[in-house]
Amino acid sequence: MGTLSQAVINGLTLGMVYALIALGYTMVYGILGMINFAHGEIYMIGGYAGATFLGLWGGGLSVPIALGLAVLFSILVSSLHGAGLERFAYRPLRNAPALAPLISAIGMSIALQQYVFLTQGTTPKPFPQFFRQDLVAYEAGIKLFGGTLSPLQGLIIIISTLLMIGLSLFVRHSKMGKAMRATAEDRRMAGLVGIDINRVILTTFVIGSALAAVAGVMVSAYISTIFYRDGYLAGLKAFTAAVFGGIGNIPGAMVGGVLLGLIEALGVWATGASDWKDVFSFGVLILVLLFKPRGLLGEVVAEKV
Amino acid sequence: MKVFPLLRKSAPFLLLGGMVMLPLILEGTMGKGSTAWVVAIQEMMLFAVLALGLNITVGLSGLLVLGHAAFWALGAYTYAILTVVFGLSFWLALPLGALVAALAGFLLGMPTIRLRGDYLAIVTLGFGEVIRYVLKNFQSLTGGDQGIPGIGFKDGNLQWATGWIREPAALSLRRHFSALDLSGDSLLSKSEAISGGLNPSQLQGIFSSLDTNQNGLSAKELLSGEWGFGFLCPSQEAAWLTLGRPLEMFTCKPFLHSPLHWYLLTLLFLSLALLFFVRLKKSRLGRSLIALREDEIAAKSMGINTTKAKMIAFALSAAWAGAAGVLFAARNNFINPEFFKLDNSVLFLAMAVLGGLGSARGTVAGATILWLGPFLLREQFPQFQEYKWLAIGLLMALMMIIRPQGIFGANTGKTRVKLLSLWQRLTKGRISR
Repeated sequence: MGTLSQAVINGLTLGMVYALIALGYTMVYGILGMINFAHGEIYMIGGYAGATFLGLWGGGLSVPIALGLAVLFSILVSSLHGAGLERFAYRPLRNAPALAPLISAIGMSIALQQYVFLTQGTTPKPFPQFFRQDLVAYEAGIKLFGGTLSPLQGLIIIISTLLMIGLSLFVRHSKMGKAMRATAEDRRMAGLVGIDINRVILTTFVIGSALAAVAGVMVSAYISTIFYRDGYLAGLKAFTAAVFGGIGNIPGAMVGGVLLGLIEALGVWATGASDWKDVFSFGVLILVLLFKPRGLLGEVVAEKV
Repeated sequence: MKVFPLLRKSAPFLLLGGMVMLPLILEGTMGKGSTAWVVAIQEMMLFAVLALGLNITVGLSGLLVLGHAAFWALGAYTYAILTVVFGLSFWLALPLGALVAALAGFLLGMPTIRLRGDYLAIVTLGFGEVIRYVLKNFQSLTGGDQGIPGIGFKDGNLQWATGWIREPAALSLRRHFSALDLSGDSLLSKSEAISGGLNPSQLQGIFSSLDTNQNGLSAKELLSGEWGFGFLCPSQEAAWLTLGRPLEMFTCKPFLHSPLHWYLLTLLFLSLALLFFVRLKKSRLGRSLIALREDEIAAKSMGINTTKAKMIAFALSAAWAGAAGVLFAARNNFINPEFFKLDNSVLFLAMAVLGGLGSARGTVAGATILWLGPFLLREQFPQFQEYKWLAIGLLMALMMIIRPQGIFGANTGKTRVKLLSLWQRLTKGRISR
């Protein structure tokens, strides 16, 4: 903390994570037109899965391999949860009135939170210190304009950037990506030309959950704990990021996430009021909705009758 | 068979009468254990008011609001601050709390309500969180995490509203303490009270100042101010006996601040809310809200000013939550930000969803199931408490999938048909339709 450049570095790190979670929101919104309120919980479950993996099986492995496996394990766990969510809580409601899937999502969000609470306990789960101590050591960091970029922060920024580039390439060039874009454009029409809608939607949930899982592991390593209530606030902010960039728009979520992280960090830096940090992001949400409801990169879409 | 329509018409009044008598019946059958029930039912009714308010937006207009507890908090804190700092009376604070909440709803709705419905959900979710942060961090006004203790129920200058009940109270007091000069400042000492037939342990609870204050309490004090009209019956009479003398129900116990007082006040409150909701649903505004819930574009093309209708619905819903907050703060005597967490917003939503979106009866049913259900289960299985929220969450999702219209589903009428045919089968032995 302290200097401006440190605030920028912290904000950028946080923003990258918001962007990763926001992608899950925005992809689901783009295709189904619903807010997946339980997405924050998927992120939280990812964090728990990573910490649990390291605690149970990380012992004999070298640090990079253990972390890599932990990320893969949490991707697996989160994707299963995300897919289950889609299959059992959202698919039966796909053609229901708009309110039904939203309420179902809220219910599942609470249920997932409680199920983690019941199985993992009331205290925050610590991320095993052994695996993060070298990464968060500020002495090992790179000095940049008076601020320090710790290895973990650098790693978060690099991994997030790579994942986002990967996702963009996937959506743009792969067959499934094309099918996803077609489904987002017009679900019924996509079905008529032979796209398996259910598979596309399931894949969307799996990809979104996987990204959230990576974010979950990285954040729990970054702040050293993970708690069953963490998903809700992270989800709220990531959603703000998605709206900021223009919901349903993948590059928008990335830009929105990074900007939101920066605004939050700089807001705290400028005012010194770290208690009000969460109020800044909400203020951003209100302002965006007031002046640019389609978001920074969103396009104006006429509502279909 | 003309019984059914007659029963239907008089049902609300029968139910209201039954609800008034319920605490007495409970006391008659359960004795001391009934207090917990009276408190639980009172809380249930308060939550039903909140769920009804939420049902105006979610049920009637199809706007998902996830920060209902924030409006509740605004009402509660409005009353708490005004009454602790300025000594404002409860009856004046009630509309004020509603107004503050409605104003907040209006300001929050302005930027978002024109947009797609789901934005409102997330904005209200964020608003709920922000309000909690403000309450936590604005310590000079809200006391931060410690909250505001000792709020109480200030009757203020409107004591006349309950004055009619003080007359019989004075009579009862005179009956037990004939020596006491009611108009003057003569004092009631502890020994005097006991010889008058008051039970010492009850005495302790109510006149806690008697022990430290050697002078005792004056009759004037007993009959006014903090004590309201509260004092005891000569002995623990069974509630069945007091059924014959309904006024003694109020005078037999320290009524003000008693669970019974809050029970009756909340019952009144819930009755008004129900009346309001049912009338609103049938009004021009209510019908336009339902129309825009079903199809916004069609509603707009029929000439409904959808933005205006939504704003009014949102503000009304917030206003009821604010008023409920005032009542809650006065009843609970203590508030802190923890009461107004997202959990409670979700609980209200679950009540509305479970009973039936847009249905008044359904909301009360939902509140009953979700508040008294856990209360019952907690007594039987103490470990249930931990699973409560898991159950509520799953129930919400399941309800949407299996029966989206809730228990008392709006518009379908299937449940009623079933009940009707059952009734006919019982009375005529055949199904007439």
